[in-house]
This record gives sequence, structure tokens and C-alpha cells, in this order.
Amino acid sequence: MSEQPDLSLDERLARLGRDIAPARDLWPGIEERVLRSARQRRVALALAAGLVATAFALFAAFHPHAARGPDSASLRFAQPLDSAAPRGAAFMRTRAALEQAFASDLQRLPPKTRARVLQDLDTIRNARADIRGALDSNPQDPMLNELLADTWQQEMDFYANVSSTSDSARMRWPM
Amino acid sequence: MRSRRDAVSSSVKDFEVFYREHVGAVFGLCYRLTGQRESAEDCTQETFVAAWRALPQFEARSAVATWLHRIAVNKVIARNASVAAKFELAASRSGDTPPDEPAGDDAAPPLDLERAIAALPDGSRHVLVLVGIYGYSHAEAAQLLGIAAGTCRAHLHRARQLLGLRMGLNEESP
Repeated sequence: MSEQPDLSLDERLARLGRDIAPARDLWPGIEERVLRSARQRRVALALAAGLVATAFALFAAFHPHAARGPDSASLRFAQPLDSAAPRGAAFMRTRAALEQAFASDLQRLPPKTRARVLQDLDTIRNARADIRGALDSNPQDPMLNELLADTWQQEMDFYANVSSTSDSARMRWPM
Repeated sequence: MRSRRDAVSSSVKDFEVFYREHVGAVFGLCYRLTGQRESAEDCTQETFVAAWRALPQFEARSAVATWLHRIAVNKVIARNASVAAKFELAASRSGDTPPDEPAGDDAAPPLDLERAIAALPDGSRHVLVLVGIYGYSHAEAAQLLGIAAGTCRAHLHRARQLLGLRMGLNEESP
């Protein structure tokens, strides 16, 4: 036993290391669940995308002039996805990869659908900006923080949704 | 053009790097909070899976370690709240089997103190770990644990008393 009896409790606590290595590698189990989760999510989103595509088709049929031009919409998407300084490089790279995949998937969509997608994306981002504005004056508000988190989830769901839609679009309109 | 499958694969690889960077900190916290290696392993895995799912919600302005700690504490609390976890804890503590020793190098903490911490009641242990070892303020620990700041102070006082008794220290609470 290497304990020094003259140390106070606070001193002993301060000497405890914060990091402890697990006895076994936990990554294989995490990786399996992460990949399974991604597959399940894609299936669910593919189903949701089918519903959204149907809604788009109905909307376009009854409102043929409602869609906006793709060029101006593409310019709006050119804004940075998140201008905040990143911390945790590996973590931010992961999110950046998802956003990059979305950006390339977006180009596969038919122009009218792409314009509509960007319009909806703007709606989500504007909502987030509004919530951030409210959080500036009340940063600890749990409901606002939850709403802010929801907007991120909505945006990422949107990315996956677009990916599924673009896959089916590529089959119908080979590029 | 990179396919979506490639993008996801790359993301998982990046996430593994992220995991390797932070697993020691997350497992250390989970182990101290649960006092049990198996539970800590489960909570650590749950924490990283939850972190992956919450990836889009991560705010770059917050520190990664703090964010992971928050998820880990929630996982431990959720586990403790389940009937199965309570049964497991009660069964293990009714016997004389001491908790597992923490893995680590020569700078690892003294065994007796770790055992004494692991044997504390849940509430007292949680507060002692967050405030005494990980340096959170009472307000921060209370928020993480979902308890009042006064309760947090009471738990710490109780934890110090119990540790002092069990380790033969003559501790005066601050």
C-alpha cells in the first residue's frame, strides 16, 4: 500500500487521476451499434423521403409556378454551415463529412426539387437563428436549448432525406 | 464523386479517433460514478453511441469534454434508475466482494480510497466524484445530477464524513 497517512482527504482526492483506461477495447461494440443505427436510420428516412417526394409531386401538380429558381437557391446554400470555431477536431470532421455528403447529394436533385429543399433548409436555419437570439438573453433556458438541439436534428434528418431522394432521382434522371 | 457510404465510413473512422482520445476520461468518470467496472463499460459504450447520435446537435462553442461528461452522467443516472441496475447494485453490495480495481499505471489512485469511494451511497458518491475529483462547482454538479445545490452540499458533507470514518482520517468539513 502506497498511501501516505499524513495526507488530508482533499489532498488524496486531488491525487486521483481523472482518466482510467478500460480493461478491454470498447470500440468494436460501439462501432457495431453506430453502423446499425446508421442503417436503421437510412431505412426510416427512405420511407419518410417517399412520403415527402409524393407530397412534392402533388404540390408541383397543383402549383406549377410555386417552385423557385435553383440558381438563387444554390447561392443561398453557399453560406458556411457553421461558422463557429471548431473544438475537438475529430468530432468536427465527422460532422463535416455528413455535411459534405449532403452538399454533393443536393446537386443530383432535379432543379425544382433542389430549390424547394433549399427553401425548407432556410426555414430550419432561420428558426435556429431566432432561437439563438433568444438564448443570448436567456442562455440557461432548458426549453430553448432543447429547441436549438432539435433544429440540428431536423437539419441532419433533412440531409439524409435529400440523400435518399437524390439516389432515386439519379435513377430516373441519369447524370 | 465520393459516395454516401464512403462518407459514412470515413465519419465512423473519425469517430473512432475521437473515441480513442476521450475514452479514458469517459470511462474514468463512469467508473467513479458507478463503482463497478461492468456498469462503467456499459455506460461508456452508451455514452459514445449517444454522442454519435447527437453529433449534429453538438455546439462547437461548448467544450467536447464537458459535453461528453454531461452525456455520461445522464447515462449513469438512467442506469441507476432502472430496476435491473438497482437489483444488480444491491446484490453486489450485500456481499463482501470489493469493486474492481481501476486499471492504470503506477500513478493510479490508492486502492483504499477508490474502494471507499465506490462503497459510498449513490448520491454521495456522485457528488464527491464530480466536485471532489473532477472539479465541478456545486452549481454545476447539481445541474448535471438534476438535484438542488443544497442537496449537493449535503451529499458532499456526508461523503466526506463517511470517507473520513472509513479511512481513519480526522476530517473537518469545510
